[in-house]
Amino acid sequence: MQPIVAVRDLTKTYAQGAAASRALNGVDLDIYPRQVTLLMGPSGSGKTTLVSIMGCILRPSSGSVKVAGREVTRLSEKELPAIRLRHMGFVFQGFNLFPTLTAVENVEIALELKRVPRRERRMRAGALLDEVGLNDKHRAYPADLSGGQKQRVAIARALAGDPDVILADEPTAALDKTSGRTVLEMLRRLAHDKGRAVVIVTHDARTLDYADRVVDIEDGRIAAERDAGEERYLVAEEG
Amino acid sequence: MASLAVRNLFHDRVRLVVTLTGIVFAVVLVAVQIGLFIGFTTTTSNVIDNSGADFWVVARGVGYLEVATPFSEKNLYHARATPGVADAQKFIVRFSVWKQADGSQRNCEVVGLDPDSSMGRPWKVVEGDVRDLKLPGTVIVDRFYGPKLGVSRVGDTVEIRGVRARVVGFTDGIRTFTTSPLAFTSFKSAQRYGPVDDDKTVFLLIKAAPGWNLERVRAGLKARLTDVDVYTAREFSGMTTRYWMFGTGAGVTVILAAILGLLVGIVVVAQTIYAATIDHIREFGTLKAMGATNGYIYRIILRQAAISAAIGYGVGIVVAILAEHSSRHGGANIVLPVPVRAALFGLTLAMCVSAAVVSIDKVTKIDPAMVFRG
Repeated sequence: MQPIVAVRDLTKTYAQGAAASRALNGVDLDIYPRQVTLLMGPSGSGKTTLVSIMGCILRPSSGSVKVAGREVTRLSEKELPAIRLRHMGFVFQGFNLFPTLTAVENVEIALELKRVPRRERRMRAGALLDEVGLNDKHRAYPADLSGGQKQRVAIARALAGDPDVILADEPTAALDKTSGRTVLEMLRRLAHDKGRAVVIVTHDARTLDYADRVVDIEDGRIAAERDAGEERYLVAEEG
Repeated sequence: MASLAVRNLFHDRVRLVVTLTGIVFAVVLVAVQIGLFIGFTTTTSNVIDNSGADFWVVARGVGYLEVATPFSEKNLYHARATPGVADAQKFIVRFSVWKQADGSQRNCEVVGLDPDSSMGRPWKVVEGDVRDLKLPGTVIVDRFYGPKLGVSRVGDTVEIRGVRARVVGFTDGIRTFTTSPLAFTSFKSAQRYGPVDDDKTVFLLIKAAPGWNLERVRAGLKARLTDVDVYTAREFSGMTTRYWMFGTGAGVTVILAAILGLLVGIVVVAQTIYAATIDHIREFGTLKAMGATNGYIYRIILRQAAISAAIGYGVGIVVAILAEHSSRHGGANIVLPVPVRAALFGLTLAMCVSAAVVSIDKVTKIDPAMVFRG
């Protein structure tokens, strides 16, 4: 299977000189469609830096990143938004919804960026909200939604651009147990049923139940990479 | 995009009110100052602009209307004999002293004209008849200045430079920049009120015959008349306006106040739009992460600036028009013609858009990776 994102010998250094801090140090990683990949590791290990670079919103210091076979590290600032728009969908820990827009308008905005005609936008945004179980919340504002509902709106928005990759940064961190499970189940279905590549940055051990692959990152390097079933077994053993 | 721009703008009502107040303040200040400037320029030269003359003949070296010195009236006959001249009349504008029945005095500007001529007549006459000025010692004044001059009706009598004068009519809406009211009277009476010597005049008003080239007529006048300058009405009007507006500094003050209003508007609007941008910076970061270009986000900010401009202008121009109407009953003359109102909208839009530039600069520097931070 061809990876949708291929990262090779990636480094990222913040600042320069004595203050320089290396966040990533020679990372190689492939992300595949139909898989839920977990990026796990302690705070400051480089998970978020890695997902930012894979999402084409942060430039690496060196190394290669290919998205759908295209090298993106040398693309200009003007070219990168088109890559994000075409291939990436983001789900954030803090939801990052637009508080002045309704749920359906939040989803529509992603379609507007893709220049989908106005009438079609409303229809497709409504269908996506229905898909994530928010049939009755189209006109609700984010302030009137629970954390789980907000994250589902965020997932619908991420899906609106029909991306190849969903990058989710701590998607369950702000959610209660039930909402967290709903969101993770939704992300798993996106990978297994819809063929997306789903990357989840997390500390949350509950996430293991929904993952196919676990990548441990420590000190800017990939410390271990294994099948999630094996990880679940180890966690159970430790338990 | 439209809805995000509008929703974000109207979301924080307090900030919107502050923004709109700043714009309204700037619009009213600029409109009133420009209106005053136009009003001043209109009043400084209204006697010339309403004279109906093609040329004004003045003593050599005279720079503006109010300081003209008398010259020999022989020039009148030479002027009438000049080819292309349809009519030539003597005319006087002189400062004088108006003494009310109760003995109090104030300055006035005596305007001496030929009541049978079509040139130099008072305009906006609302009571009485210009032909009544044929009677010696009669005047027409503006209603607005009536209380200041101590007259309220036809038949009231006063003294001008010690000579009796009877009011035979009123105009309505003729202001003066010098605040000395105009007292229209016959040329003969004006010679006494001026005073101006019997064989002299202060101006000659010239009407060219239809079909004649004005420059040819002027060349003929210059060749025949002595010790005088010949100006078209437009030239002399411009000279008089420039003197009062720029020679005295009055116009510069008004223009500076208008510029100040504009700057205050830009600063207030820039500050509020910038604060709003900072408040929504994370949303703009999210948009960038989602694939929005800088141009897309600029358009949101510019749309907000344009909407603010439209609302602020709408309210501001209504206030300015009310001020214009109320100025008709007050001392200051505010004039806001429709083209000026339209230009003000362009100015308001430019003000708001330029105020948004600071925010645009901020958005350009947003790091989309910020969306992953907490």
